[in-house]
Amino acid sequence: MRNALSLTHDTFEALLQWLDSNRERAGRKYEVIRSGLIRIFVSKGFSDAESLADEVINRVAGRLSEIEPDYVGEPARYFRGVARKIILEAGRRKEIATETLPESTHTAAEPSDEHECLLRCLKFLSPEKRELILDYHQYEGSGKIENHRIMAEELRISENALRVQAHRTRLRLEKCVLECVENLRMKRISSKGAL
Amino acid sequence: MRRYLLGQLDEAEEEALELRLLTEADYVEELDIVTDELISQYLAGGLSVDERERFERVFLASSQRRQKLSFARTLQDYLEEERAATPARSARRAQPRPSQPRRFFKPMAVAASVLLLVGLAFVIWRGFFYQSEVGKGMDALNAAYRHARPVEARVSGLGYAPLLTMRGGSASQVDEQTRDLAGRLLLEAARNDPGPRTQQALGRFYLANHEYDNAIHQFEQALQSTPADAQLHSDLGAAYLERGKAELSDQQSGKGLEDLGKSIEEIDRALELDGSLNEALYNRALAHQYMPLPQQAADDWRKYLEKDSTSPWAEEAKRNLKLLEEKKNDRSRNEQNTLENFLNAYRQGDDEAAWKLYTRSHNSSGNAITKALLDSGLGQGDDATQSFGALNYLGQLETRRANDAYTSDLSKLYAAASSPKRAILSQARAEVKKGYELFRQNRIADSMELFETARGRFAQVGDEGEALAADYAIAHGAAVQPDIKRGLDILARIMPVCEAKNYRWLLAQCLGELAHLQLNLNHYSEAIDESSRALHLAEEMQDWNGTSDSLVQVAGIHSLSNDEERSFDFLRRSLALDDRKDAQHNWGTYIAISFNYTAMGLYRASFDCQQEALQLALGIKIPLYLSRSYLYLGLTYGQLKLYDEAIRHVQLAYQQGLPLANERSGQNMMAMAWLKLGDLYRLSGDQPHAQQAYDESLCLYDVLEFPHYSYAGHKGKFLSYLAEQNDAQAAQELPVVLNLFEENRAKILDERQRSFFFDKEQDVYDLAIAFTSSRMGDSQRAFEYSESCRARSLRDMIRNGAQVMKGDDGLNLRVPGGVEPLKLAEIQERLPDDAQILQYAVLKDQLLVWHLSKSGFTARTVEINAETLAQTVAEVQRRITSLDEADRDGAANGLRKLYDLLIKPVEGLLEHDKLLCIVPDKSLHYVPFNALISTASGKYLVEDYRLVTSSSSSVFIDCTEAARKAGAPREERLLAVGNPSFDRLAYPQLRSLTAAVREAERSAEYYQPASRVLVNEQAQAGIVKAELARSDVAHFAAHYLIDPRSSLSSRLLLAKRQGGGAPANDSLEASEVYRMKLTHTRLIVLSACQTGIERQYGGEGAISFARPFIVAGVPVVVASLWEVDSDPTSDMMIAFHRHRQRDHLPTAEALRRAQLEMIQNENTRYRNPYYWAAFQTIGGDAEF
Repeated sequence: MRNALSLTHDTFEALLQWLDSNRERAGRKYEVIRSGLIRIFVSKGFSDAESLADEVINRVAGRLSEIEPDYVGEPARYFRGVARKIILEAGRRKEIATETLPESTHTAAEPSDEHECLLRCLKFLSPEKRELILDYHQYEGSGKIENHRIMAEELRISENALRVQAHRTRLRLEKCVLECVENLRMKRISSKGAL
Repeated sequence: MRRYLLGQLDEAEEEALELRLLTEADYVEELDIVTDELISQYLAGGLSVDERERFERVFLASSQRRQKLSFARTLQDYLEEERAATPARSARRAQPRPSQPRRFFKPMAVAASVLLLVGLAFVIWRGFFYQSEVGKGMDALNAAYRHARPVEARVSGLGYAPLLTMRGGSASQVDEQTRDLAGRLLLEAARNDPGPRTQQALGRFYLANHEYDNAIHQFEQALQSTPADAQLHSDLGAAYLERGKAELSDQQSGKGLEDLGKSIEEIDRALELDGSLNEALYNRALAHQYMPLPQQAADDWRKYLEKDSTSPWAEEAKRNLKLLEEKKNDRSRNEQNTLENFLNAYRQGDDEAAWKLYTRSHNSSGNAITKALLDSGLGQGDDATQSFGALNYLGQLETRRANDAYTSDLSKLYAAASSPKRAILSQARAEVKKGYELFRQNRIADSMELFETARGRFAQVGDEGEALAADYAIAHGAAVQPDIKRGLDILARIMPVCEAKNYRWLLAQCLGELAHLQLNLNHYSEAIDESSRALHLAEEMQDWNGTSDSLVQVAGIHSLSNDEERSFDFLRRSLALDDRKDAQHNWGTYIAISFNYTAMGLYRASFDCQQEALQLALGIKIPLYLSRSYLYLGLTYGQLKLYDEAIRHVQLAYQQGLPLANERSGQNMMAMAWLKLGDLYRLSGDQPHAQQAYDESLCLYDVLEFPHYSYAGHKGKFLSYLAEQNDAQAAQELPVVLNLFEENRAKILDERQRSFFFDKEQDVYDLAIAFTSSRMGDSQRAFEYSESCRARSLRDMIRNGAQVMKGDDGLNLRVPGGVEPLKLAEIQERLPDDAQILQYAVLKDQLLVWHLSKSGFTARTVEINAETLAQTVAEVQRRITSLDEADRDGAANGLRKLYDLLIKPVEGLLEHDKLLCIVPDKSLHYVPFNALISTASGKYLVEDYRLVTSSSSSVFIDCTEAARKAGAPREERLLAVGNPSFDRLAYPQLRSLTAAVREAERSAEYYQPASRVLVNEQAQAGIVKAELARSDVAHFAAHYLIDPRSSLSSRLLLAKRQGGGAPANDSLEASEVYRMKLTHTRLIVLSACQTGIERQYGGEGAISFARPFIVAGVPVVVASLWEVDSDPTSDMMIAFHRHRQRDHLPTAEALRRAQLEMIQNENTRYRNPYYWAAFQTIGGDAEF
C-alpha cells in the first residue's frame, strides 16, 4: 500500500509557495501537476495512479527545504524526475496479457450492470447533453468526421469546441456509470450477505 | 499523444510531452480526449495490427483504462440498440453521407410494408456493419499518416498529426502499405460510386501523396456538382497552396505565386460560405504567410486562435504567429544596428561583413551608411576622423568589389576639403536631406528646387558625384510629377558622365528612372531594356535592394503589358531575395502582384495584396502611395461589383491629391482618380457621370501634357457612349480610340509583349467591329477593322524579318512595325481568281463571317456568344482526340454543329472549284475545318473543297504572292527527315518513331534523285539545317516538343550528336527558324505533334512551329492541330507526296486527296477524323 497524500498544512503551504508566490496561481499549478502525474502513471500501466501521484508530491514536499534553495527551473521538471524514480522503483511496466482483457459479458436478454447504469445516468443528463453525446458517437471514420462537422455547424461552435464539450459530457456520464455500477455491486454484496 | 498512449515515443519526446502534462491544464484534457478517441477507434476496428497489439499490451495495462474501455463498449452497444429501435436518430445525422441510411429512409416511408421491412433491414445493415469504401479509404488514409501529416495545410477529413521536416535520409513517416490501401479503396470507390464525395476523398488522397494536379482536378470536378461546399473550396485552396509552395521552392518560375493567389481565392470562397470553418481559417493564414503578406498572416493566425486555442493545430498556429512577430522585431532591430555593425566590421577588417551591410543599405536616395559617415565626418573630433577612415575603407572596398568609384571619389574629396568647402558641403547635404523630406510629402516642386540649389553648391566645390546624385533626384521628381521631357533631358545629360566616371550604382538608378519615364510614354520595349540593364548592374554590384527594385519594375512592366506569367517570374525572383526590404519596396511588390491577380480574375487575392499595401502606405505616409492604394482597392471593389465601396475608395484616392492641387503630382493623383471614377460610374450604369469623369481626367492630363492615359480615357468614353447607345458620339470617339491604339502598338517592339498587350486590348477592336457592323451597318469597315487587328506582327515579320533577342526574361522577338493592313479593295484585287476567303470574327455575343472573292463580298452574323463557341470547339476537339468509341458520335455531332455555325450561313456563297482560305479567329484556330460535317450531305468539308488556313486575309495574299514567285510545279528536291535518334536519356518519355523512317524514305521516292533522306542517327542538326536551305521541300517526321513558357524555345528533336553537346544543339528550335532566310524552300511539312498551334492570342492568332517558317519566307506549311498517331500519319504523308509529285497536284489538293483516301481507308479505324483531320495547309494559294 502506497502512501496517500499526507502533507502537513505548513509543508503544503511551502510547496505552494515554491510553485508560485501567488497562492491562487500556485493552487492551479498544483492541480495541473497532480492531474498530469496521474495521467503519467496511468500511461505507465499503474492501476493505483492517484496514490502514486500523491507519493510523488509527498516526496517532493518532504525534501523541499533541500531542493528549494538551489533548484533552478520549472518545478514540474522536478516532479517528473521523482515520478520517473518511482516508476523505476516499481520495476517494470505493468503489462497484462491480451487474453485477460475484459470481454463484454452482457446479453440482450439480461442487460449488464453497466448497461442498466448507463440508462439511468443518461436520464441525469439534460436533453441537450444527452442528444450531444449520442449524436457525437454516431458513425466511424470519415462519416464521423463529417457528422462532427455538421454538428459543429448546427451548434455554431468550432469542431474542437464540440470535441471538448462531448468529452466533458462523456466524462460526466462515465463517472456516473462507474459510481452506479459500484453501488449496484455493493448492494448485491450486502443482499448476498443478508441471505 | 496517440504515440504516447501506445508507448511509441522515444525518451526525449516522452519527456517533452510529460512536462506539458505537468504544466498545461488544457493539455491534460486533450490527452483525455485522445484517450477516449483511441478507445473508440479500437472498438471500431480502426487500428492497424501494430496499433491494436500495442493498445492491448500497453494502453490497457492500467485498470482505469480497462474501465474506460468497458464503459465505451457499453455506450457503443447502447448506441447500436438505439439506432435499431429508432432509425430516425441515425438518419438525422446521416444526410450528408451517401452511404448512410437516410438516403434510403425516405423512399421507404412510401413503400409497401414488405419493402419497408426489407429496407429497414438494409438500413440497419448499413448503419451497423457497412462502411463505405470512401469511409474505409479515408480511415486508411488517416492511419497511414498518423505519425506525420503529409502536407502543411489542413485538409478536411484528415486528423492532426505533426508536420515533421526530416533532416537527412530519415525513413519516411508514412505507413506506405496503408496509404496504398487507401489509394486502392478510394480509386475503387471512384469507379463504383462516382460523385462529389468520392472525388473529394480521392482529391485528399492525391493531395496527401503530393500529386497536386490530380488533387486539384478531383476537387474541381467535385465542385462542379456541389459548388457551395465550403470544405471542398478549402481543400482545393489547400491543394493550390501546396502546389504553389512546391513551385516557389523549385525556383523555376513564378507560377507558385499564381497558385497561391488561386489558393486564397478558394479559401476565401470557403469562408464566405462558412466563416467558422477551421481548416479554411488555418489555410488562409498559411497562404498569406507564404505569399508573403505578413501582416495579414498574423491577423489570420490571431483570428484562428480565437476559434481554436487548445487543439494541436492551435499550437502550430501559435508557433507560426510567434515566428512572424519575431521576424518583424528582428527586422527593426537590424535596421537600428546597421551603422554600428558596419563600424565594427571596419574596425575588425571584416570585409565580407562590411560589404554585406553596405550592399543592403542602398535605397533610392543613396546609401544609408555612406550618408551617415559623411554627416559624421563633417562634424568635429575623433568621430569625424574615424568616419572618414571608415569612408576611405568603404571607397576602396566598393572599388574592389563593384568597380564603382563613387564612394572612393567622395572620400577623397571630403578628406581633402577645407573648412569653408566643408561648410558648403554641409549646407548642400542638409538641402538634399530636406529635399527628400519634402519629396516624401509629395511636395515635388519644392523638393526639386532644393535639389537644384544643392546641386549648384556641390558643383561649386567640385563634388561631381553628389552633384550628379542631386541631378538624378531632380529627374526622379520629374518622373513622379510627371514632367517626362525634363526627366529625359536630365538623364540624357548625366548618364554618360556616370558611365565615364564609373559611378555604376548611380547609373543603375538612372537606368531605372529612364525605364520609368519610357513606360510613361508607353514605350514598353525600351522600358524593359533599360530596366533590364539596371537589373544587371545591380546584380553585378550585389545591390540587393536595387536588384529587387529592378525585378519589381520589370515585373510591373510585364504586368502592364498583360504578360502575367513573366511578371510573376520576376516577382518570384524578387521575393526570393533577402526579405529585409523597406516598406516602399514591399508596397511596389504587393501592388505588382495584385495587378497580376486582378488580370487573372483572382480578385480576392488581389484585394488581400492591396490591403497589405494599404497598411504599408499608411505607415509610409507618402500621399502618392496612399492615393494609389485607395485607388487600386477601389478598382478591386469595382471588379467585385461593390460599386459604392469602390467609388468611396477612389474618392479617397482623389482626396490625397487635393491638398497638392497646385503641384503636378497632386494633379496627377486627381487625374488618375477621375479616370478610374469614370470606369466605375460606367460599369455601375451611370453614364453621364462616367463621361464627365473621363472628361475631367483627360482635361487634367492635358494640362499636365501627359498623354499616357489618353487611350484609357477615350476608350472609356467610347464604351460609355456604346452603353447608352449614343451612336453618334460613339462613332465620333471610335477613330480617336483606334488611332491611340495604333500609336501604342507602334511603341511595342517586342513580339511577346505586343501579343499579350493586344490579346487583352483586343476588345477595343471587337467592339469597333460589332459597333460598325451592327449599329452602323457598315460591313466593309467592320471587315477592315477585323483585318487591322490580326496577325499584324506576323505580317511585319514577313516583310521586315525578325530579330531574336535574348534578355533576362528569356528569348523574345524584336519586330519592326510599319506594315499597314490591306484594305478590302486591295485584298480583292490581289486575290487569285481561283480562291475565296472565309474570315471570322468571334465577338462577345456574335460571330461574324465574311465571304470574299475577287468580285464579291458578303457578311453574315451568327448569334452565339464567344464562350459557348469556345466550349463547343474544345469539346469537339476533346472528343475527336479521346479515341474512345463512346465519344465518336459526340464528335460527329459536334462537327455537324460547328458546320451549322461556321459554314452553313455562307454555304450558298461558296464555290466548289475554288480554293477556300479560312481565316479563323480566337477559339476557331483549334477547329479542324476539313472535318466539319455538312448536315445536308453528311460529307466532310474537305470532300467538297481544298482548304488553306491563314492568319489574316493580308497574310494569305502575302503568302500567295510568295508562292507565285517560288515558281510553278516542277520536280523538286526533298529533304526528308525521319525518326532522328534523339537523346533517349534526356527524353525518356518519348518513343522511337519507326514508321517515320519509312515515311521519309518512301516520300523521297517521288522526288528528285538528288533528294536527301536523313533518318535515325543521320538526322544531325548541322546537316539538317544545311540541307533545309538547299531543298525545295522539307519533310520532318519527328518529335516536336512544345515549350509552354516560350514558343521560341519549342523544338523539333533531331539526332543526338556523337560525343555529346548541349541538348539545344540536337534540335531545330523555333527561334533558329525565325532567324533563317529560306529563299529556296517553298514547302515545309511538319509531320509531328501539334505543329500547327501551340497557343493563340486574340489579336495575333495562332502561334506555332509553322509560323517561323512563314516568317522565314516559306509560303506554304503543312502542320497539325493535335498530337498525331505515327503509323497512319506515315501512310497519309506518303500518299500526300505521291499526289504532289506523281499527280502534279498543288499542296492543298494533294493533302485533300490523301485525307480523302484516309476517309475511305480499308481500315475503318483510320476513317476517324482523329487520324487525318489534324493536318492542314497553312499559308497561301500555291500552284505547287
